[in-house]
Amino acid sequence: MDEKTIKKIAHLARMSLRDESEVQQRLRESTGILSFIEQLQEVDTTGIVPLANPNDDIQRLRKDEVMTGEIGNAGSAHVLANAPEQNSGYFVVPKIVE
Amino acid sequence: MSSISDLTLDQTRRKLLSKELSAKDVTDHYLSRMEVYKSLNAYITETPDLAQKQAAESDARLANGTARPLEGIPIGMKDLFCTEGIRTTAGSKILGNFVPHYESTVSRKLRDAGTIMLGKTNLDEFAMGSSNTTSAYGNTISPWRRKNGGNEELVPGGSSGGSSAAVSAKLCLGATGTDTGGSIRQPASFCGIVGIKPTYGRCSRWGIIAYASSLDQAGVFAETVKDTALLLEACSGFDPRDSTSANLPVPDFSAALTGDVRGLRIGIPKEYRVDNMPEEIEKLWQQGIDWLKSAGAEIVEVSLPHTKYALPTYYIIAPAEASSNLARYDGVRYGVRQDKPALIDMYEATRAAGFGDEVKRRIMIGTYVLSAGYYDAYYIKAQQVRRLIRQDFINAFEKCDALLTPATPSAAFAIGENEDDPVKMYLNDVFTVSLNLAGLPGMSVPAGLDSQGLPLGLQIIGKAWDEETIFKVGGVLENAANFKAKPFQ
Amino acid sequence: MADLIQGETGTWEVVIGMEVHAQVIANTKLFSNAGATFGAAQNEQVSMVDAAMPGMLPVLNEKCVEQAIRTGLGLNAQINETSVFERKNYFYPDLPQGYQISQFQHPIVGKGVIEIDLPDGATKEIGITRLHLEQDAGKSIHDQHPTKSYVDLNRSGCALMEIVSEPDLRGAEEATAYLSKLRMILRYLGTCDGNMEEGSMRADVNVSVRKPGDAYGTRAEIKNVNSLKAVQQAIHFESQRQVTLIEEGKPVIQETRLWDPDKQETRSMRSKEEAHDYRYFPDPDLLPLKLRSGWVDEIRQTLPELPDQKKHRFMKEHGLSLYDATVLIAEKIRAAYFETVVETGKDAKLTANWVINELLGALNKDGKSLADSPVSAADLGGLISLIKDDTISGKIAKDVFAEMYATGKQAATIVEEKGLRQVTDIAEIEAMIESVLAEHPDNVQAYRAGKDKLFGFFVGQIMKKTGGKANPGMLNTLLKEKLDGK
Repeated sequence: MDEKTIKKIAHLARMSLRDESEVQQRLRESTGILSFIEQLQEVDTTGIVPLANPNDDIQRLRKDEVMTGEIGNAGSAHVLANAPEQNSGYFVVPKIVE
Repeated sequence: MSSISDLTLDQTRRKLLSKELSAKDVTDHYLSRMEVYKSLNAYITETPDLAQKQAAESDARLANGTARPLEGIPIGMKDLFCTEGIRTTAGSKILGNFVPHYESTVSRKLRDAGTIMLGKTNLDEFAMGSSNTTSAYGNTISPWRRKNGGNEELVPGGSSGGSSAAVSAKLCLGATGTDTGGSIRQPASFCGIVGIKPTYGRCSRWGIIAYASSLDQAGVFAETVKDTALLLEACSGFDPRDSTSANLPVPDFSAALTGDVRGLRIGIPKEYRVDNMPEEIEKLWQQGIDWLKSAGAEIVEVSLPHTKYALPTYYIIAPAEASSNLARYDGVRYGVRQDKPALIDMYEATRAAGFGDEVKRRIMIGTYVLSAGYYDAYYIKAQQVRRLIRQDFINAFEKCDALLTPATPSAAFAIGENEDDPVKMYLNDVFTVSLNLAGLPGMSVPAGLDSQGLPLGLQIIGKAWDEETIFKVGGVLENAANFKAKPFQ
Repeated sequence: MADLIQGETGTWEVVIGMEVHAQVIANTKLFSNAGATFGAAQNEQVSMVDAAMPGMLPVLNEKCVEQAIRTGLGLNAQINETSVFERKNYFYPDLPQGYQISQFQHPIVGKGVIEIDLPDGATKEIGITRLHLEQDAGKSIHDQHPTKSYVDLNRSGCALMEIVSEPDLRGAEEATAYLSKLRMILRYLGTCDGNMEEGSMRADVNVSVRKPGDAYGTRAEIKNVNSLKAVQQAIHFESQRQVTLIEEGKPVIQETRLWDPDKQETRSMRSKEEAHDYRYFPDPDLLPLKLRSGWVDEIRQTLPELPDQKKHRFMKEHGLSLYDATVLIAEKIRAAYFETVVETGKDAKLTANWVINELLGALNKDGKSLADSPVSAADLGGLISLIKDDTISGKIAKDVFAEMYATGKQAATIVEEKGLRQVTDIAEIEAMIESVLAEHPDNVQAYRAGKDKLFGFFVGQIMKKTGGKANPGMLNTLLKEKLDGK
């Protein structure tokens, strides 16, 4: 890990870094955490299937039914209620430059 | 006459049913205590108006015979559970103005069971922390003090520190928490109360602001094992809105409190005897073993060989999931936006200003371990070790019915301690985190005090879906420990 | 049929692979119960899940899984018993979660194959690499405000199938034939409406060039290709661009390029993708999708006859030409119409002609679809029956058809009302021949002196007298006898 990586990762995560001192701080912390997690490399995991969720044996499918409310059509008023900026039923953001 | 707040949840419930107390009396009493102990900063948002309205409804139901199981019981709600019409912050600045239009399944079940919500309890930002010091709404201060004469403020543990402090200080009778790596059990242990994290999938995650989806699980805090049984029963159960929720019936948890552990096999994992384990912890653990042995349980030594890898595994998986779960806080649809003319600047400024340091740390690590070239070495490796850790438990449970371990490697520390190095803080979860990786249930029961008079908890770990054995063992430990210490003394 | 480009260094072969995004026909979105239909007001078909509100969780739509399986079967593909939803992480205002839930390493459908029909009547097998399910994004609108973009999440979270082909296509013609066949199959299956103009089927085209027999060249992925015509134009432009580059000694860069229909060119989108690192990982909110046993077979039982099966059956059972069969199976409703007409009219070849030339011609002229046809299949069958039993001639039948098309009346009714029944009485026809020959003695003379072409003149005169109702076959025979016989 180096400063360049820190900047790249911060950009991927869309978090601006205040200044060089924050870059250094993030680098220090990340390096510390990485060296802590590095010890996993000593575990022999040959042939072990990764486990993404402890309940990987259940299956949930739902019926194709239109609903209203939270998990269905919630209504634009509710959908937009917390929007920092809205207009005519749309969310509004700074212009997307293609 | 004893005060209302000397009663446990179950005792209060009985007095409400027998009409010795009204829900209004109880609610007003707790609201006034919240005023008195405001400086603990246990609540981010207090909801006295709602509480009084709910209390009136409870009194009506108690009067007309339609009381629900927990009618009139005032509780605290971790501010990670979305509550309809009530600001829900996740302890983060970025959600400082967020008012959901929906109610989380767990909080809805508790409301439907008749509980009264006193407010939203403080927490580490997005549940990332073990001290409650990462909250954007100020530290929660533990009601406990060291008896060394100094008056250092101690952490209540985290991330559910507001809930544990509130229950411990009797600013509510019970509270919800979430536990991703120990966030219920560690604060319960620090605050001398009972906290249980059930099996992953027992409580719906719907409406709980996600930290790490494959690890997050809701649970409850209360003063006694019985009280947590009542609360957990009310908030558990299948939810078709959560694809990882289990379609299983909810057992009668309080019925499991038989006091009889004769013949139960209690496993003692040898790998939990970590280097530099404080003697007090070691002693307490042995004490716990002796209590269970004399109650008729059979003690067996078991091995969980991958224990030491649980923390590093967790610190790959949890940040990885978090980095993705927290991508939605982009200032577009809700939350506090930093206005900038260019979209990318708006994103970067919003997230930089909205997230605190610990959240940023974890997003950075999570983004890194998922990024091209590192995914296999970190993320896949961690998921493989995760399976090994779960297999360790499966193997151990062939020899025993439950495990007994310390809950934390130390008693509560002072605010500001452990802040110099993130990894040092992470070590708080050393005994709790492997359960989350394996999806197993665990409980912390207060079992004794350290030399400074601070509470220490023991952890009971159960098989998947077998919270009943945990309650059974927890009840026996509780009786044997006869833990009577209170804060503010 | 391969597109070959004559460059300065020799002949180049154009190699195409396609990635098609097809909107799944379902009532609700892939992971929420919000409606998935078009035309709702902005942000009215949005659930708290689709808006990625805090704490919201996805639950998979059974119907979308079924549609993916059905499509996989229609593409003769391997259905994977276990598949995994992963998160593709990137920031964009119309992507509320900050990630798209998609299938990456373990798609629901694996390798398959379809047959495409080429203009020269040949067919070719094209490999399908995979099909996976994923979420659609919302819509950003850029022209409402000078400094702002507006976001509508109605499409956000709707189900898409991404269907990836092998690089088996050799040029623009094959590429459009592939798209047409794929569209036809999806419509037969009822899994996607295939409407490219409305965006319910969108294609990304991977283009590379190579000298025949060489290994594959470096490919460019062309986006924003929204019609069959654009596919052709984009392939022509891009393949030529690559040949020119290579022959100038410059490298082709593996990149995403945007088709600009106004400028008729592709241009690099490199600036946009250089920072992308999608960080795929299994979605921890969704467990691996394991199909319950027997499900795939249940769906297989409900599959319709697919276009190619139908085409071959039409040729075998009805004796149709490849061309006629191909036209008739292009739409499921068209094939069904044809078969209903044949049931009544009992003449497949004649029916094919009438459906293709007369009916489709008339509908096409009016911009109508077969579903709106004023002439029902049974009624067209009735008309064909009248031709078959010599009640009317083919020529009269065209007038009758025009009347049917205009009024919706049945053929028999029109024939009776207008007295169009064909004259088949020998004596009657002979009498008319006699009378016409008597009126034109000079022409009879000339014909008999060898001016054969006058035969048509006599036919015309007689038909005029009968109002076109004389049976043409009988007229020809009898006229010839009269003229030659004397």
